[in-house]
Amino acid sequence: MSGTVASPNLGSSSSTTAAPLLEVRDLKVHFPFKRGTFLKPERGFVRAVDGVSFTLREGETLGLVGESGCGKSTTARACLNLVKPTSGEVLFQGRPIHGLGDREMLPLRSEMQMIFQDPFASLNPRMTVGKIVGEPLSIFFGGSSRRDRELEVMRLLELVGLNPRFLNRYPHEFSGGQRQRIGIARALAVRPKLIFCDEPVSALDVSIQAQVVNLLEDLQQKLGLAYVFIAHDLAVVRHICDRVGVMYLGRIVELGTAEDIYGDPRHPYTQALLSAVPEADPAAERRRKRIVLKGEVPSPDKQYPGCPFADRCPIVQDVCKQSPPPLVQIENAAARHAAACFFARDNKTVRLL
Amino acid sequence: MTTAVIDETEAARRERLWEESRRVQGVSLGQDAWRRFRRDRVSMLSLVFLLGMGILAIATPLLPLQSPRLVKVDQKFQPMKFRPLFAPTAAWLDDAGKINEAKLDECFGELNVVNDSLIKLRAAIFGRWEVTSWLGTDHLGRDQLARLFWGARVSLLVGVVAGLVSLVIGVSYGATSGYIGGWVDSAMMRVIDVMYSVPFIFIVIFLITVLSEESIKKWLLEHGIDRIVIFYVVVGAIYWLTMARVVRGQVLSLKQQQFIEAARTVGCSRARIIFVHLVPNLLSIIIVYLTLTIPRVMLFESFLSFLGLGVEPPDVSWGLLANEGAKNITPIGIVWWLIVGPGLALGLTCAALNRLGDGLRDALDPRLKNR
Repeated sequence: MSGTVASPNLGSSSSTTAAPLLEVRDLKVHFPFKRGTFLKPERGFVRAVDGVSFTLREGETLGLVGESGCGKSTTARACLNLVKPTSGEVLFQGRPIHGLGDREMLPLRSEMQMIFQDPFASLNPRMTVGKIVGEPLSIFFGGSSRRDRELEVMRLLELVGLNPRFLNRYPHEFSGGQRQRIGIARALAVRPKLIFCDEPVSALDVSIQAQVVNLLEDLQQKLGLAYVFIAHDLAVVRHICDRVGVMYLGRIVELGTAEDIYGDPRHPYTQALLSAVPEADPAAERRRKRIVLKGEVPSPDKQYPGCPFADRCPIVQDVCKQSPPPLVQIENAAARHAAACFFARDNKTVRLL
Repeated sequence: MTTAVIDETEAARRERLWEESRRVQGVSLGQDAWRRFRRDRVSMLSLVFLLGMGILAIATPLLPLQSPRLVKVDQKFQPMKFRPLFAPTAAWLDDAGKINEAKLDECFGELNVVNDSLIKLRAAIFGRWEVTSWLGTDHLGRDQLARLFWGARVSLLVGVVAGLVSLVIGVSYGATSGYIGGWVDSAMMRVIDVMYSVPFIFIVIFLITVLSEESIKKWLLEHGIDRIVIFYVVVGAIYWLTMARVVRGQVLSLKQQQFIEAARTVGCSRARIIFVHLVPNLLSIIIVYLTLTIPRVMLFESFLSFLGLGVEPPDVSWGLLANEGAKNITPIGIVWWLIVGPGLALGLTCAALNRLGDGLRDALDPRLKNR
């Protein structure tokens, strides 16, 4: 596992464009629900995403990690306007996407694309590969002839390492890794600047995972893509990401470069998460100290006055239960390393890595 | 200069790959299903039977059958008889083989262009020869076999056309309702609930009565709208309700699939998602349901004709024939050949359609079969 190469843009003010590629400000996605009996209805909201902010520059990779149900995927869907954000702003190159209709969203869809988790469910089983990958082409460059489209699809298939002769085959004739490549080709068809990768490798075999991750890295170098990489595999995220955001219950609790997050985690949740990663070396594995969290992930349909992590936090104090800690720069840490914890300054751990 | 050369060879390479890709054709789910279906003997038999029936019905004017309308009172209630098999008795042709237009009109009613040319072709092939009354004759001496064949045309056409009408309305309505969801879905489904609660027989009786009123009938005929055509549309417009519900249910589960979200991500419009992504995936259930709707529609038509509300004499349909046959079951004597023919035809067709639907379901969704 190679160390993370810091993006040249990171931490320097010399970036050429004023506006970042993607800016998310206090994004909230709440799903209303109704339950209980007819006579005694109970209404409320599931706070899937509850105040997420981050920025992404061109060519950069941001990882979003966290356990299942913490709002990683919903954040990506809200950025693409696939679910309607409840409040907050998403700006793509300074343009707000909030409240755009399907048609107004179209030009933005040629800049932002998505790769899906399940390579078996994300391809229409009734369409040939040529039609699946060619569909965005026919939507965005409608006038082109079918033959031109197919030639372009073949170029894309070659780009993602598939045999272009398989243009007229159906998805069920491919393996999981190949299908994921088809999904990547579809995302690339409109030549986007930013791709949301929603757990793109978690449904694949480990050997195939490495291939797909390497393909994503190659494509980033060739095409200058930016990624928002959603995963719960910490090793993969460390490998591919420039910056990492750790999410817990709909919020980012720690945000920084991959080096900082993995080398100097400050939020107790991040520390617990990282302590759960097994070591390859058996001796180190035996020495490894795990932080075991007590209790369950609290339900996202309740509102907490204080820090949502307070109930399970090993260093909890009274102040944590009164007001939520903001995501702010940590005083004695590297630049652009922020955590949502009142005690991030003093909460240093000695990692045996 | 060199780059141009490279570009050219690159383009040539792509051309070659494209040509090669034409030869690598995948096996679609439909082709796969067809392969499974062909192994199912009974279903294949049903399909062959239905196709044969359809072809015979279309080719009826070409066959050397007697007139389904020509009244021959002196030959009423003739039993089944196969000797002689053929006789040169066509009344609408003279000895020289010239068509007597007035007689032709009496024998077959008004014919459209296709049927007219088919009849002319028949005259050229068979001359005055036609089959004798193999299946006997009815109370007006009309040939039962010819009436069965001409009735098949109406009955099958009602089934297919009304089935297709119900298909188009039901699929569009159900898919739209299911995909949009929310209050639109609720409202659209309540409309269906309301329509379900209305007794159809009542609506049909009402509509047919209104349309049978002289002035309306004349107006419709002037605009070239036959009562049978209205009948198709009415029946189809009634039978779409269940189709809409079935399709909606399927869409509700399909729209959660990731490929629908993927389609939204690449900017597909709503109509495109519904008709390009959802409907093709519904095809299997639609086809199966259609094969079950057609016999229901056909039975409904027979039922209405049986009540005297459907097809009007001198047009014939299987239901009408069964009605006439049933009238001739009396304490004095049973003219059994008048009821067995249409009954068997209707029963076999419906059974074949049902069996076909079963076979198609097994072939289209192999996972269901082993459950």
